[in-house]
Amino acid sequence: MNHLRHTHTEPAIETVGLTKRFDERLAVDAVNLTVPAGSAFGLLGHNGAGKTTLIRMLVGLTQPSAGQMTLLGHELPAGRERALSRVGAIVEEPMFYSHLSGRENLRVAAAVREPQAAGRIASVLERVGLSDRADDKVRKYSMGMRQRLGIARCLLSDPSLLILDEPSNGLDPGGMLEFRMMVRAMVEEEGRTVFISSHLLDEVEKICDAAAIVDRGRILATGTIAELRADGEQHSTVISCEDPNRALTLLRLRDPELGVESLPDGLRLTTNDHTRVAAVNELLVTHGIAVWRVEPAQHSLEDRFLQLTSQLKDAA
Amino acid sequence: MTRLRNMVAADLLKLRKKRTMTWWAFLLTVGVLIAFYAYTLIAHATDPLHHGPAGGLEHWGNAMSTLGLDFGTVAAIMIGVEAGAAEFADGTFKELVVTGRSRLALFASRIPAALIVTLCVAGCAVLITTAATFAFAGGDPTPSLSLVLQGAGWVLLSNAVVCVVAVGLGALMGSRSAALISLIAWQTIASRLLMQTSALGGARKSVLDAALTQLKPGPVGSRAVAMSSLLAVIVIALWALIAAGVGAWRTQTRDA
Repeated sequence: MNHLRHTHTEPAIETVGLTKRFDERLAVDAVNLTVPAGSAFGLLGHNGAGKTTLIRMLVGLTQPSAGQMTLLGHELPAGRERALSRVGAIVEEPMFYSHLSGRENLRVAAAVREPQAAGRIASVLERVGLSDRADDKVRKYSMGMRQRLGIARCLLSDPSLLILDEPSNGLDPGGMLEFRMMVRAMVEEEGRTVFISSHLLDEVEKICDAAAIVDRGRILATGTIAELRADGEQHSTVISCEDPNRALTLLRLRDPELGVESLPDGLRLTTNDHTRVAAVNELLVTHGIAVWRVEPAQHSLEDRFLQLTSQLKDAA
Repeated sequence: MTRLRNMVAADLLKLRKKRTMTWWAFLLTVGVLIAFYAYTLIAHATDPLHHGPAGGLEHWGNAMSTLGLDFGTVAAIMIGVEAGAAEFADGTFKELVVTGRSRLALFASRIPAALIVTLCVAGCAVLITTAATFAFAGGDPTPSLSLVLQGAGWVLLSNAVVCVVAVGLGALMGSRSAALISLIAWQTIASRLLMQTSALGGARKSVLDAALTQLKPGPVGSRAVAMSSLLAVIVIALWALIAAGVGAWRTQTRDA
C-alpha cells in the first residue's frame, strides 16, 4: 500500500458553523470541529445526537443548510471528488449488492475508484480475513462479515482518511478486538486518520487518541481522551480502608470543611492535595483504622459524557 | 475513458447477475415466441386447412409487433427499471456517492449497461423470429432480407428507447415496484387508450407507442395515429432525452 499520506500539518477534517436543518428540526447545530491528521478521532454521542448527519454531510450524501467543511485540505463541495478519492467511508450499515459475491462487490466499488483500486482487491480481502469467503454471495454473510467487507471496501482507495460510522455494530468481542488493533495499526503504522462515530464510550476510549462529545447536534466538548476525562473533574482521592463509617465520623469531627463521602470499601475525599491526603492517612492510622490503598480517583470518559449530556438536559 | 468503461462493466455485472430478472426478460421475449411458434406449429400440423404455417411474412409481422410494442418492451422496462432504481431501493447508492465520483457519471454508466442487456435479450428474440419465419414458412411468402434487417433494427430501437425511458424514470422514482407498475401500465394500457381517443387529436402524436408504431417496417396493422417519420423520430428522441434528463437530475439532487 502507498504510505504517502495527507500532510499532517493540516487537519484531516475541519468544519466551521456546519448546520443541518430538517424543516423545523435542527439536526446539526453550527458545529466547529477539527480532526487532526494522523490520529484516531471519536465522535461520541447518543443515538440521534447528530453524528450520522454530520458524517453524511462530510461525504456528500446530504447537503448542509449552512457552514463550511474542509476534507484533507479540500474545501467542500467544490473539492469533493478530489477529497473523497482519498477517503474510505462506512455510513450507517454498510450496504452491498446481496446477489453478488464479496469479491464482485469490491469489483463494483473499485470500478468507481482510481484504476489501481482493482489491484488491491485480493490484499484488502486478506487483510480483513475474508479471502476464504470472498466468492460467497454477500446474502450469506453474517453482520460481522459485512462490517469487515465494508472496511475492505474502504481500503480499496488506500485512503488517507477513514470515516467509520458505528463500526463495531455486529462485531463479536473477538471481532471488536481485531478491529481495535486494525485501527491502531492504520493510525500508528500507516499514518492514516480514522474518524469514528460511536455511542460505545468504552470502544472510543480504547481506540481513539481524541474525541468530541456531541449531543442534540452540538459539540459539547472536544480534546484528547485524557483531557476529556480530566475536564470538569473535581480532583478527588479514593482511600480504601476498614470501617468506612467510623472513618467518616472521625474525619468530619476533625475537619468539618473537608469534602468527604463514604464508599462501600472506603472514602472519597474531594481533594488531591498531597499534604491533606497524607494528614488524613495519618489520622486514620493513628486511630487504629487500617488503610489499604490511597489513589487519585480515575474518571472515565463515561463519567464525563454523562456529566456533559445531563448538564445539557438540565439546561433544556 | 477507462474509468467509464469499468463503471459500465460494473453496472453490467450487477444486472446480468440478477438471475430472476434476466430469466423473466428472456421468458417474456424468447419464451413467448417459442410458445407462439410451438402453438402455431401444432395447430398447422393438426388442422392445416384452418391454420397456416407458423412462419412466413404475416407471422413475422406479428412477432415483430410483440417484440417491439408488447412483451419486448415489458422486458426492456424490467431491465431499465432495475438499472435505474435498484441502487436507491437497496441503499447501495450511498456507497458509490461516498467515493466522490460524480453522480452524473454514476447515472450515465447505467444506461449503456442496461442497453447491452436489453439488446442481447431482444437480439436473441429477433434471431429466433427470423429463423422460425423462414424455417416454418411452408408455402407462404417470406420477408425480404432488407425487411428482416429493418424489422430487427426497429425492434432493437424500440426496446432500447423504452429501456432508456425506464432507466430515467426508475432513477426519478427510486422505487422498483412503483416504476415497474407505472411504466408497464403506461406502455400496455394507458398509451393504447390515449392513441384510440380521437378527441385528443394531434396530441396523440406525443405518445411514445404512436411514434414507435409509425416507424415499424412491413405490415403494421392499424396505425392508430398517422404522423411523419421525422416527427416520430423527434418524439422518440424527446422521450429518451427527457426521461434520461429527469433521471440524471434526480440522481444529482436526492439525498443518498
